[in-house]
Order: sequence, then structure tokens, then C-alpha cells
Amino acid sequence: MIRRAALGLAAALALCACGPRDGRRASGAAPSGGADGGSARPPVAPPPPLPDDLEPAALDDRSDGGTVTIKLLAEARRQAHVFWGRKDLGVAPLEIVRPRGSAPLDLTVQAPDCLPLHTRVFTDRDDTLSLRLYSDRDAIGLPGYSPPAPAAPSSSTKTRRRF
Amino acid sequence: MVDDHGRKTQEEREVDAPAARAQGLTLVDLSDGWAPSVLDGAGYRSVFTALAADRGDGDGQPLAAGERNYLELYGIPPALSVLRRRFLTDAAGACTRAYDPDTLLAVDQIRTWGASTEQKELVRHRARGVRLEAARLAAGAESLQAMADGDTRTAKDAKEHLRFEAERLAFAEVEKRLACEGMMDPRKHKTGVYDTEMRTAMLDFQQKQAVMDQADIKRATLEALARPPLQNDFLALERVLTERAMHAAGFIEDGSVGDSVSDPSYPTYMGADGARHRVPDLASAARDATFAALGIATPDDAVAFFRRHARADFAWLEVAVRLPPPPEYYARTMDLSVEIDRGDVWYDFPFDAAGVRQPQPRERFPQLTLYVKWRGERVPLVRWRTTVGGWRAELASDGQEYFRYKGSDVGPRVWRHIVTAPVWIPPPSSPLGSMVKEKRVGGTYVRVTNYDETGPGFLSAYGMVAAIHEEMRRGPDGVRYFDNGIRTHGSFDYPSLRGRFSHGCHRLYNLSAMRLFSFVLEHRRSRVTGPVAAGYRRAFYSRGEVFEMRLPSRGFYRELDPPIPVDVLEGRIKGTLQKPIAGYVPKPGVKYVSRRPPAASDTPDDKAGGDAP
Repeated sequence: MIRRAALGLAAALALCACGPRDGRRASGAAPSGGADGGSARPPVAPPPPLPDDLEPAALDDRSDGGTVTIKLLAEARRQAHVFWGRKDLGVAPLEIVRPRGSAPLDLTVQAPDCLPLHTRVFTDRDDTLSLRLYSDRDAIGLPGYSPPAPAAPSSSTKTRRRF
Repeated sequence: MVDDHGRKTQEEREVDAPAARAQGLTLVDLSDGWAPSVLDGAGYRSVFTALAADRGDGDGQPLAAGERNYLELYGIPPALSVLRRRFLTDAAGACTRAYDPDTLLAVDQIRTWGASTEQKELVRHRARGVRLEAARLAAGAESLQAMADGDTRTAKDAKEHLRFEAERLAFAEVEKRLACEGMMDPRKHKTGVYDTEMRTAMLDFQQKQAVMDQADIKRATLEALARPPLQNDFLALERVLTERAMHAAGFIEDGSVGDSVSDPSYPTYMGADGARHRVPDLASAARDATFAALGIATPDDAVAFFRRHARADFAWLEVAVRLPPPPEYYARTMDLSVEIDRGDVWYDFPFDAAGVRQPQPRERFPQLTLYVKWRGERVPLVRWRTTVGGWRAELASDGQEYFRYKGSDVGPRVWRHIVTAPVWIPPPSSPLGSMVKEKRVGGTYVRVTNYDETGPGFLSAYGMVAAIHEEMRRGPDGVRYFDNGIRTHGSFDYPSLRGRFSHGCHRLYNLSAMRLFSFVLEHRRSRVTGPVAAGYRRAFYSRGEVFEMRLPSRGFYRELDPPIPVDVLEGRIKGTLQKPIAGYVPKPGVKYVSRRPPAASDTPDDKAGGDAP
């Protein structure tokens, strides 16, 4: 796709670009006497009001690549509800249709007499996922198993903050 | 053209892109859709652009209103629309006269402590002040400064007191500065205390300004705090446009091959004219050319530029730039090679029999150099700090931690595969503690499996791009390649590039790794393999819930043809041992259940280790 280009015109611009650039390079440290330099300046007009398009545009669905279908399989008698956050997507087996290449979905599956199951489905291709649900007894063999204990808060880690 | 302040500014006009190219101009992409070319084809590209534009999180989910990504140090520079918001907001002047830069720059650092130690230090300081004031009156000294300048017994105390005072004054300016820039909510902060609110704000500020102080308040942080916000925005714009211009031109030379271009030993190459030419710093040249083309020389020019362009313009905007011509050794296919010097290497166990850590100083640190062969010479293009392996604590199969020397292979290897958005498969010994996190899903916080370390993503143990070190073995069936788990890869763990050890891999800053491998792919023949299936699925238990980790792909693969030779030099072996100790070594002071340490696992994914212990 050919897009338009913004092209700086040379002559007048070159004059204005060359002079201050050296000064700009040397201006790593703050000027003394206040954040604005502290020196007497001619009065300047107040800055224009902020435009209303400063916040980022909403994330699109990138639906130009079509959709994918994700099948979640479980025995219907289990009554396994599939949640995305608070939203109940229904009882497995079920199908989820999402824009291809959109974000992965972190799902929670809740069924009577079973431990909540957290899993993830991806949207880069059609997918089928058999949900393996665990009772308390089944979970004993899982890595990390320990008898239920009082919960401690876990940390949220968008990025790793190390103090 | 005249701007809102009546000043003459650059005139812009729209030009036909092919015509601009025909005139020898390079189109530098200013749009929010930009990503390094090494991400082309990989699904992660859309996540990268959403992160850069503050539109999405690491999983591609929308950010909450007002939430910001400050990920430049992690390899994701802000998009131009984000810089536009910063410039126009800061131009409104909320920080003008809100803080005193001189007070900030009056100290070299502000010491900080954890909450309880901080309170003790403040109490101690106040007590010392009372004591010194009594001493001053008794001595008839004019001021504490006079006492500090003298040679009395209290001079040292007085100096320390004055230093502390200056730091506290600077601390108050830091609080004002973080608040006026909107980084810290003063209502959630206790004045005078380096609490969580302020530490978080400081880390955000440092990541926004690409300062690697990790919430410590050192000189680089103080200088960034002292600068007017628009000046910081301008520095960010310089970094962003440098990256854009370098990628647009397919350049890599950044002046890193020598200390100073005036140094007579600075690397050179033989030109067609028979003269020797210095390896250029194309990063500075490309940046300057781009700024000139945009008519931006000062922060005010940048403000005017961003006022001229609405957010919507950054869906398509490019600028035509006359970049410096590429050096004559440039070609579509270049004879590239890599040398990794491991620097000073210690194999000795770093603890003595009493469990006391022994110093193992290094003067030479590991370096990666990319060369091009030109007129019979190896010409260095970039030389960057990297990492090598060393002694690391590792969880063994008996569930206990041991030390293990996780070295970096020495000798000739090749880069045959470049993996974009690589995925690290956690070995069974990986601790489960870090595998669960809380995350906002569908508007509410839930516990989810933590894919940060596995990737794909900027926090992946392998960074956003990796090259596999493969050993070529010639046999009766021809050449076979052997992967011993060593990679050159980007890393979120930017402090580790300043002298820490890896698990054997050669880490680069994420941004450098993407620039390097984009350059390699543009100047070598390669073939796209695409996503390579991993089919990994693992269930584990955490606090009454079951979590599944699913990793369908190992990343987006490309194969170089031919591969690039990589020579890993042994470096200077220091200390007594000339070879590394194999297997686990018990940690001093730890009681072990097993009589003997179990056998150490040696899979490729074990080598990477990520952030595991």
C-alpha cells in the first residue's frame, strides 16, 4: 500500500534546524533558576487547549482475518460453566467464535464437585480443547498440590517490579 | 507557515511515496502500526503495536482507561501518538515552576530504604540535628556548614547531616515533580516517605525516561527529574525516531565499536578510493537527518509538529528523509559473522569452606561483535555488552536448591534459526510459585496462569527474538546441527546486561536484539518456517484451584541460508580451576535430605532458565 508522506521542505527549514540543534544537544541538564529556565522572557500566549484525541483509540478487533472457532469439550452431565472474567459463556461442550489473531482468552471452568480450572485458548487458528476437570482427590497427584490452607494474597505482575 | 506562537515553522507537503523513493529518499514510518521488521509475520506483532500505543496489554487485551505502558526499557518504544500526548500535555505547563531543579541537582543521589529502616534513619537524623545544634552553640560556630568545613571531631558528623538535609530537600522536589507530571497521586502518598505509591511512580518515571535505576534515586534519575518535561519528551522522541530511521534504512552501526571517533585505533575499513574510512555512527546520522526532514530542532518545534497532526494522522504518516548513503560494504547479502568474547571467566566455586563468598572481580565483560567481511578484512559493525553463564542456584529434582555452573559454550557455532516471539518451555523443575498471577479479565481481577516468563512477549525468558546457537557436526551423513540450549536473545532483564550472569545464553537488550536480527534478515537470505508447534500442556495446583499452562507454539521461525558463523571465545580464565565443575554443588549452610546431589538436567530449556532461581 502506498501511503502519503509528510516531507519537510529544505531551505527555510535548514536554517532553523541547524542553529539550535547544537544547543539542543548540549541541553541535557536542567536550566538553573526554575523549571522554565528562570530567565526573563517576553510574555507568551497561553497554550491552546488540549485536543480531544489525546487518549489512545480503542483497540480494534482486527477482524479482517476472519474468525476462529474454539471448541471446548466436556461431558454435559458435568454442568461445567465456562467463564471469561465474570461473563458466563455457557456450559461445555460449547463453541467460542473470536476474531482470528485477537488476544488469547483466559477462561475459568467451574463445575460441581470439581476444582476451578483455569485454562487459556488461542485465536490464531481453529482449536479444540478437551477440558480435564479435577476433583479434590484427582488433584492430589498434581504438581504443587498441598492440602487446602488459608489463602495469602498473590501479586499482580504486569511487569516485574523489583525494589 | 506560522505556528500558534507566530513563529516560522517547517512547511509540510504531501508527496507521492514512490516518487520520493525514486529521488533517493527513505520513507521513515511514523505511524502507530510500526514494528521492527523481525516481527513481520509473527502473531505477536499486533500485541507489540498495541503495547506501544497504550492500547493493549501483553496479552493483547485492551488497557483500562488512563493506564499507560512504559515499556521502552523492555524493548517497546512508545508510538508517536503516545509521544504526541506527552508533548501536548506537558506543553500545557502543569510542571512549570512546580519544582526546583537546582535542589534536585544539588545531590548526587537520594538514599532510600525499606519502610522500617527509613523511619529509623529519619529518627537518627533528627537526633543528630539536635546534637549538632548543641555542639554548634557550645563551640560558638556560625553555622553547621562552618563546623563541617572545620577539622573538629564533629566535622564528619556535620557533613553527613548537611548531606542528609540536602537529600531530604531534594526528596521533597522529587515528590512535587512526580505529582505534577501525573505519575503519582499525592492523595495516596505519605509526604516524606518513600512508600509504595512513590516507588511505583518512580519506577514508571524511570521507565518512561529510559533510566535504568530501578527505583533507586541516583544521578541519572535526578537529572531526568530536573529536566523540564518537554525536554524529556524530546529525548524520548530522539530515541524513537532513531529506531524508526535505523529500521527504515536497514542500518545497524551505532558507534559502539570504539570509544571515540577521534581515537586513532577506532575501527576502519578500506574504501574503493584506497583510503581507510572509519566505521560510521549511522544511528546519530539517521536521527539527525530525520529531525531535519521533520523540521524539528527544539521541543517547541516538536510541540508544533504534534499540534499540526491529529491522532488519526499517525495511522499512516511517514516522512521522506535523505539518509546518509550506506557504506560501500553494504549489499543485499552481506558476509556477516559474529564473535562473542566471554571476557573474564571464573570457574572456581564462589564460596569458601566456611560459606563466605569469595570475590571474583572481572575487568573484561562479555561482548558481542557483529562483523562484515569486506575486502579481505573483518569490519566490526556493532559491539555490545552481553552476558555469559556463571554460577546459578537451581532447583534440583529432589526439590532442593543447589549451585550449578551454567556456562556458555565455547567454540565455533552458527546462527541457523532466528525465532521471533520465542517461547520458553519451563522444565519440570521450574518452581510453581511464579506461574500464577492476578490479571484483569473481562473487567474483573482473576487468578490466571502466568505466561510472562514463557512468552511470547517482552517478558519472555528468551525476549522478543532469539537466535539458536547450533553446533555443526560433519559426519558420514553430511552436516548435522546440534542445539545445546544456548541462544543469543533479547531480555527484559536489562540490569543483567550490566554485569550479572545468565544461565548460559547471551542476552541483549530487547531493542538491540530486534535491531540486530532485523538487520540480519535484511542482509542475508532466509526462509520463513513459521510457527513451530510445541503442543505443551501442563496442569498444576495452586491454592485450591487447577491451572493449565498451554503453549501451542515455540515461536515464529526463520531459517538463514547459509547460517551465520558465530565464534564464542573462551575469554580469560581467572582463578584456579581451568574447567567448570559439572553437576550440582551443595549450597553452603544448607542441610540436604539427599546424600548426593541428584543428576542435573541438561535440556535446552533448562539452559535458558528464565527468571527461575
